[in-house]
Amino acid sequence: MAGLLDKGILGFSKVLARGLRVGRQKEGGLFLRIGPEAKVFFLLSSVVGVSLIHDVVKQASLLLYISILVATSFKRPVAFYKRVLLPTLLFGGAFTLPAVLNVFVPGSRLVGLFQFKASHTFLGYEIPTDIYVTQEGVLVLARMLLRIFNSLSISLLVAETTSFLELVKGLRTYRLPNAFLMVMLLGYRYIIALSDTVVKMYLARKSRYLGGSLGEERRWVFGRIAYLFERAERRYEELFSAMTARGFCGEVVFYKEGGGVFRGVLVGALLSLPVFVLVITEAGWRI
Amino acid sequence: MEDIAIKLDAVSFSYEGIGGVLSNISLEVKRGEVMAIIGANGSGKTTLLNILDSLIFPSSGRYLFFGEEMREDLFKDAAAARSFRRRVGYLFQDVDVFLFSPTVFDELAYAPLHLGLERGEIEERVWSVADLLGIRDLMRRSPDTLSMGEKKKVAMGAVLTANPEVLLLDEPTAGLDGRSEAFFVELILSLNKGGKTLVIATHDLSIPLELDSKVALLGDDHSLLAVGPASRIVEDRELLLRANLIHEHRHIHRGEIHRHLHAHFGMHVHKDD
Repeated sequence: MAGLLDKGILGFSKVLARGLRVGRQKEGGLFLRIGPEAKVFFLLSSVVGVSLIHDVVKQASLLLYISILVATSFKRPVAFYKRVLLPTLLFGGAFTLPAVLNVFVPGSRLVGLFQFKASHTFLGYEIPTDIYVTQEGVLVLARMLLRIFNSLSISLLVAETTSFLELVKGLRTYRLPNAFLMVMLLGYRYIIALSDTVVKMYLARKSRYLGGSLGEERRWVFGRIAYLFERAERRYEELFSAMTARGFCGEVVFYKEGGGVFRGVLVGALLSLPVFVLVITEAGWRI
Repeated sequence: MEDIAIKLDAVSFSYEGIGGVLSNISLEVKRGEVMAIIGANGSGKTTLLNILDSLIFPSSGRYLFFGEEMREDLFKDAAAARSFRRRVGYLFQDVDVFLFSPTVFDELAYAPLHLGLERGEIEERVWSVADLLGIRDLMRRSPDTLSMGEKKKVAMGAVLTANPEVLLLDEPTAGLDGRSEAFFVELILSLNKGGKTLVIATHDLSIPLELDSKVALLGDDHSLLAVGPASRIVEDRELLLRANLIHEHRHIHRGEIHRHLHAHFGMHVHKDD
């Protein structure tokens, strides 16, 4: 059981290192060749687009389009979708599943589940005698799952193919305030320092400790949280001194600035075109 | 032109809750000189370098850089801070803290970029420093994946691309194998020959001798015990004993186990040698 904690701590650091420092892109893949400013535009416009589309068929079409982008950018699209599926089912499925019942979303009967002898009132809900799955309820569930799945896929597609610094660079292109970018950048450095400290402390402790139950391991971890943050903060301050010593004066600058707002918007808009079309047709406008 | 690059005038420093870590230090480093700060662990070498890089400021006393007093309020002005950083480069002892960029190229470009240099000049500096240090092959790699010797070279490169007049090096040879250490000693000598002023903190007594530098010796009480040529300070056993840089311990010499005063880094001399 102690191995679970072990895996958890090391896995946490691995995820941070992968997610924040480097992406796991396909060599020469589509999203690897696109500048961060275009990806930022695509991310923002597509996520907003996904939330505006109600029609399930249109959401499914969007899923198809995103799958093409994923397939052209990742070595193993299945592994990518595995990572999207779990949070989708967890956050989308678990909370929305009851919506399929006629108790929450009344509608035409699809599958009957069970029958009570008499109707009841529970927490303000009128529970009918006949409980069944409704067509409308299934549509609500499908819409919610597709929305979450699509939003997560778009976010992960950009996050996995763009390092954190590239993302900040993309945001800078759109003239975001320097103070906001600096907070993001220093936050990123802090998270790296924190993850590094967590792993080093845990491995040092592991090397001096033989065995122990999961409970003991857990007590040790929670008992060290304050100390851990103190150490991480110290390390972060050293890191900030290193940045200062090398000329950092509070302004976020990058060696290779992005391709500019116009190019970013143009490429981003091209990528988001199918999303725009779906949103427009949803609104009932003719193209 | 001011001939004294660095002047410390009765500088003391104390950390809140810890107490004094530097006590009444007065020191001068001339332009183009190599000064080695030697002392045992905890004697205040790194704190002294932090003051020289104006990362922290003296609790009392004055620090003059080319005749200008370095005070905290000066660094509130970004232009003044940038002008100072352009002239002083600082290599940290802990290279894992010092290297924070995604690739080696970004590391080397960081300082000239933040000092406001043009892209063309940045690129030129980065590649010429990479050639000087023999790290051209590492440019696309993440610093995390490098060996200690490579990390030290990259860290040194990150300092050199700013082309500072004064270099502050904290234990530049610590943790390196013999060949890498020799490389760094040669590099420091060639930088000095090129007119750079260098201040090097070390507890390796062989380094100041190899560099034939001036030495400032810090004692365990965080005060300055002596300043003078390396050949004189490093040969003064009484002084080194006071600074806790040599100690008596048991070891084997010519097949015989015996005890006597011993410095760990190449300064081990027997009466009959």
